[in-house]
Amino acid sequence: MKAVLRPWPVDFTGRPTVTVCINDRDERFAPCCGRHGGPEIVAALREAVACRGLNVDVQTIKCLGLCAKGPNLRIAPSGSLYNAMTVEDVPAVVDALDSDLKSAKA
Amino acid sequence: MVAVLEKLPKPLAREEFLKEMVRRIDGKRHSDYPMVNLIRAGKATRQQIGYLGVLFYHFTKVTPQVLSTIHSRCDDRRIRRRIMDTLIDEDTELRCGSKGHDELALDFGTRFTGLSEDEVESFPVPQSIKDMVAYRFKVAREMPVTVALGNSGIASESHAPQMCRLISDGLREHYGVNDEDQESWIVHIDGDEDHSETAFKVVLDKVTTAEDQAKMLWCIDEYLFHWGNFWKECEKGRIILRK
Repeated sequence: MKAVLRPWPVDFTGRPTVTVCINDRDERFAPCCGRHGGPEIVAALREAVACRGLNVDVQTIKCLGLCAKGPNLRIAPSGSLYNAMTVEDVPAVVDALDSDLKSAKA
Repeated sequence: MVAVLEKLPKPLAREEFLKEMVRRIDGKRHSDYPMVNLIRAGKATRQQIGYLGVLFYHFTKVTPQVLSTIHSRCDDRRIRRRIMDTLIDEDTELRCGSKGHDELALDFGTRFTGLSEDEVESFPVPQSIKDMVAYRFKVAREMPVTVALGNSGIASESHAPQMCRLISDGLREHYGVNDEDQESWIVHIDGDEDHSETAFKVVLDKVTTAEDQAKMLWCIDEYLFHWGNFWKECEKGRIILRK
């Protein structure tokens, strides 16, 4: 996993969104997240977020525009990006989210 | 046409040319316009956003033809290949996006407004947007290839990711738009970030004569004028929504 972390907006008090690419397409021109674990990452994230009771919206999308770096995941409103994700990386992402949420409340 | 094609007495040095291009863009980036910031703040009306969606489709749908016009005039194999890659990005689902970018724009236009695809397609496009489209084709047909590429890469795309991010965050936070329904904006936030650097590099490497540099500066002024008209037109919100 590679992460491009961006600062959490200081005035944000809403519900953050984690958007995971699940695009499944012909890979002759470019790889796609959907064939390299995207849907499994979504399932693992939803489960982890529910287990931790985090107020986070996990959404899917069919392209984040970074196909060569996938599977990709984006967090709003910070704009942080996680590339080359695997299911095993999900706990680390959820930890980071948890920490960001706690900092935002503090 | 409103910009004046100036004559440069001699070619500008690389750094000077870069500084001059950036100076002309400053204050006229997409994110400098109220429309973009109104959406981010949740203060734009749904009519304004719906109107933006429909007009953005009519802007986006000609991009493949603009690109293929430039491609057909390009003698440099390496640049032609780069244009072809961008054309595949724009016009297909094979490299970037789950559909051609015009289809993604159409998806946003129809889903946000509730209009059908035919209604969006036949929507009466205002003259200012027709002029913008005509300008894009004129540049593609008449300007040196590298200037034509710089027209979109520098004058518009180099500052598009910030605009897309502001719009996307506003749509999600204030208007309840799911990310699947706004892929048209999201796909450009991080995907286009390196376009700016590439566009500037190509122009700085290839646009080196006084005559071509003057044309490049003219394009930046003229395209930004059209973009200004685009954003001001969106603010009018001249659309009747179905939802």
